Amino acid sequence: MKKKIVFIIPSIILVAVIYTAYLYNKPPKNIVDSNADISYAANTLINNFNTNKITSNDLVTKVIEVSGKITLIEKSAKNIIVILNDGIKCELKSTSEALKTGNHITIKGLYSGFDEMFNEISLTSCHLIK
Amino acid sequence: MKKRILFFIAFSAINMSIAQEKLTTRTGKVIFQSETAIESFSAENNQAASILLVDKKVIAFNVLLKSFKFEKALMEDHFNEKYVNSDRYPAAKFKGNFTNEIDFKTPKIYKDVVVNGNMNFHGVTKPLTVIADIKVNDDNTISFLSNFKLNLEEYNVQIPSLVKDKIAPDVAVSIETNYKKS
Repeated sequence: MKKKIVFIIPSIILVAVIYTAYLYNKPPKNIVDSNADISYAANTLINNFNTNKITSNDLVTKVIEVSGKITLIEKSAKNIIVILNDGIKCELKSTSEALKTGNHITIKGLYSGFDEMFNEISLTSCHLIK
Repeated sequence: MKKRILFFIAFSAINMSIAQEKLTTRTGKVIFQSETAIESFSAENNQAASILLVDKKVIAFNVLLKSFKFEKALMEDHFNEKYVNSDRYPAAKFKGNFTNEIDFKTPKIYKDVVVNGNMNFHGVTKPLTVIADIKVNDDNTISFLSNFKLNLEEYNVQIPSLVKDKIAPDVAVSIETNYKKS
C-alpha cells in the first residue's frame, strides 16, 4: 500500500510539472491554423460596430474573418497594414504579399480593439485567405 | 460660376495646406522591456497609430494594448487580463508638444527634442516628458525615436507580491515611428 502511494504521488507531481511547463511555454495563438470564429463583410462589421450592434465584447479574443476592399496600404520593414473599406485595420506579418488598393480580399485576424485615432477596427496577426 | 471656381480654388488651397502639415503612421513600433535580476521579458507592437502635426508641433500616439506581442501566450494573457486590463482600458495614449524649430523640408537629425505631454494609460492620465530624436529623412519622411521609463505603480498597475521580483517597477519603453504625408 505504502509502495503504491510512494509511486502515485511523484507521478502526479511529475504530470503537474509537465503540464505547467507546457502552459508556461505555449506560444501565442497561431491564426493560420485557427478557424475563424465569426466572419463578416467589411461594411457590415463597420456599420454594426458604429451603431453598437456589435461591441468590443463580442469580438474580443476572437478570430475574425472579413472580406472587403483595400482602401489603403501602409508598409514598414516589419509588417503591412491594410485598411479595408476605410474602417478596418489589418496587420499582416509577411511583407511579401502583392496587394494593391482596390483589391477585394478576405482576411482573418485577432481583434485587438478600436483605434480612436483613425476610427478603425483593429485586427492583428492577420492572415490572407484570398 | 466664377464665384464657384474661386471658392473651389480657395477651398482646395486650404485643404492642401492642412494635408501638408499632417503626417501619420499606422506602423509605429513600440517595445517595452522589463528587466530584473530574475527575469527579463519584452513585448513588441508594430501597429501603433500616430499623428505628427508639423506646424502645431504636436505629436500624438494611440497604442492598442492587445496588439503587443509576447514570446509566450501566458504572458500575453496575464498582461492583458491581470496587469493592464485591456478590456477596460484598451489603449495607451500620449499627446505632447515640442518647441524646437524643425525644418521639415531639409534632411537633418534633431537630437534631444523635449516633448511635454500627457500619458493616458490604465485609466490614469499623468504628465510625461520624453526626450526624442526627430529625423527628417531624404525621402521627406520623418522618423521619431524615443526611449523613456514608465513607472507601473503611478498608473495603478498592480503587481502581486508573488511576482514582484520578476517584473520591474519601471518598464523601459522605446518608440520608433516613421511618418509619411497622409
